[in-house]
Amino acid sequence: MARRAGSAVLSAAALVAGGAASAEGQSADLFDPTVVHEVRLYVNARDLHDLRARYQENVYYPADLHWGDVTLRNVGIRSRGRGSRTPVKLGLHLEFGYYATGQRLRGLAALDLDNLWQDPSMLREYAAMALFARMGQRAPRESFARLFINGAYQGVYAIVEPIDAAFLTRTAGGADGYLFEYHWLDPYELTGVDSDLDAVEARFERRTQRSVPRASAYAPVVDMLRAINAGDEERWRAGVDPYVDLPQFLTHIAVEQFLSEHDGLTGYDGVNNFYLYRPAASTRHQFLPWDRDHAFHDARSSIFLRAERNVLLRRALAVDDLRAYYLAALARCADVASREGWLEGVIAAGAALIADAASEDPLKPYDAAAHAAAVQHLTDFARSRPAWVREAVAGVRAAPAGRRH
Amino acid sequence: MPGVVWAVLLLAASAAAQDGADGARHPSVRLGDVRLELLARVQLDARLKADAVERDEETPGLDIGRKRVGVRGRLARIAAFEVETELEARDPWRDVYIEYRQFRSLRVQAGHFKVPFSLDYTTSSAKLDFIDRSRAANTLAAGRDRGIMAHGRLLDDRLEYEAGAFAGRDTKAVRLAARPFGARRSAGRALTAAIAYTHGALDERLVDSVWVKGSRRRAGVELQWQPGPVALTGEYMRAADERLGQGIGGENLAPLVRTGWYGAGTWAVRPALGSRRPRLELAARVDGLRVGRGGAKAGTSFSPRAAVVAGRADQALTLGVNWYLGSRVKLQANGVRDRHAGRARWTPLARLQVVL
Repeated sequence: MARRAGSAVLSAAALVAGGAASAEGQSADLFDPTVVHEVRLYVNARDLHDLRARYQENVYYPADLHWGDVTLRNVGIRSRGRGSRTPVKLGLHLEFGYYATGQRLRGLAALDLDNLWQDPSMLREYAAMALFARMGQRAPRESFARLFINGAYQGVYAIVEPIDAAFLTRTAGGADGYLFEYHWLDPYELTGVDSDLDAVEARFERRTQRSVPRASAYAPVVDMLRAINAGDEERWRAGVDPYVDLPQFLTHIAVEQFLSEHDGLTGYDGVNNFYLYRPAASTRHQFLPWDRDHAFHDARSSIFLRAERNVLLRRALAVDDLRAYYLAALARCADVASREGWLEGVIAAGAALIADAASEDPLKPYDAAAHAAAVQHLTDFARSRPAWVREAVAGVRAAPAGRRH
Repeated sequence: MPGVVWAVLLLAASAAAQDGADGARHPSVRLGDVRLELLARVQLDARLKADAVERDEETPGLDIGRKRVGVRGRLARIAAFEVETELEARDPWRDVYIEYRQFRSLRVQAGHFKVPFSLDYTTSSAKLDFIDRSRAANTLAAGRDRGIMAHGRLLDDRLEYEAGAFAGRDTKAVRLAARPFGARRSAGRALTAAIAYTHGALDERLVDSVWVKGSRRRAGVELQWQPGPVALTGEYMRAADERLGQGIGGENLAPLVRTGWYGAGTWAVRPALGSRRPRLELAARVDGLRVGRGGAKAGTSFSPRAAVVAGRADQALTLGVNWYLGSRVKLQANGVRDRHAGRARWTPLARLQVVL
């Protein structure tokens, strides 16, 4: 076909044999944040119609992927997202080995194409993940792309690195740890302990180490929830410490609170949008951020927003040194974000980068004025939030014990 | 269980006790040249869990495999008809046809009935030697359709033909069966060989998500040999489905080829077909089905829109016992050995069949 004639086609066999090495010759990096990538998908017209009709289901369809000079045949694609699921501007999950075992793109088994449906600025998640990473947290890489399906421009998308075995290899040095994706089922605040493993598994879906017996894979998760909810305040910290990396958790929360995140671990409807990670030889869990479309809500929001709901956070903040750690992490967020205008610069650079692609986006559910206003909101947030947080932290530190929030 | 099922079971059990002869006659009435027969059949199936390997496709337990009622009639030797329906089924109509049958060499049948392809599939489920048909027949046979068919026997029954046209998928079908040594039963004369071919249009998604569009060509070969208490049967079938415009970019893809086969044998331990004693029959079958081409090598694409659909093969061994209690009641027990999720398993099945 003419439209593919100029592409260097990597055969499935070569990809299997070479794995990540198959893409070594490419010059561009998939997560290069300085360019808007061009991703082209070709899908049979019937499958595309079916995909749009069944966008609420996780049904896979085969597609050919073109990115730069790379072509992957028969990649599995499906609709993705929760609130952002739409048949108009499809959010897509790409699984390269779904139909061809071992097929990879630059060593990645999968990618998400976030349709930025709920974020008129198109920058919230990109900037939020950048801050998580800058704060030393394990966070998915992101970049921007123009997506074309069967030659038709679909608009600006965020290329999101999935949290999977490849992610662990990159961020933790190996994929032998345990990874659990949290699924929102109901407003849940890490309360209660369900001894029914099915119920635990429904919330925390295992993403790695699937061959390990279920009971042993989930036992530390159950123990963690049990420790979080244990009644003895005196020994609470000692009980939780073996199961939760408390400094990491508090740093994660500090970033969320700095970003005024409304759908994370202190979400408006219970905990949401995170993964649990446990290194192979440990029982201690870490929290990984996911889906930050609801960050940057209000530059003047409390640094203890809904902190009383999440049991783990509420009880951690009742321990003096953990509370001090949290406040220090918040202050560090403010410093990192404001130093040399870093966060504002990230937002400005992102906005400039996607300006043309965004204005030409034919399927976005907001107009150019709304996009500009949203970008301005983020810019204002980046300018004012650090000072507000510093002031709030100082106020809490100065307040007498017992009246600190 | 619905009352009608109990009624059929009780009536048939009663009839079995009185009758006991094979080749049962159905309850009938005669009005001049018109003879009407009442047809009813219930099959009660027990499907047990295979050795610790759960079957994804079937739920273990007891269920009613078939609940069919119908009426069959004849007008002298000139015409016949049959109407048979499955109770409580979404698509209830089975055989619904009329037949002009004045001449043995040329009979014409019109209505809804089985397309003449595959001995295993066209054999009534009441007369099958195994509880389930072979994978090949279940997957590759043409099913029932609305159509018209000419059939008959020639050359002192040495040649039998069926040729029909069917509306549902614009299918044309022909089947030729030869008994080179004649139709009467003797060791040499009990051999039947047949070939069958169908050609039809299609535009559908198969179970494994492969879209096929264009034409479907089936070809089959059958062999039967029943010299005495031992009977041997075998079939080979091939179906090639075009995939016009089914590539990711709308290009044509190589046809999807599926092949299936089986070899089966039965041994009537108490062979007296006409006797009133219960008859015991042992049965064994090996069958296989292959979809696509080649093996599942590293790098093979299993995409439903891959240029060539990667090959997948499936085989099974079935061992069975059939116990005929008179002409109306049959007890069947089968053990099926196949592979599931890479592991071999045995699945026990049982069926009680009652025919009115």
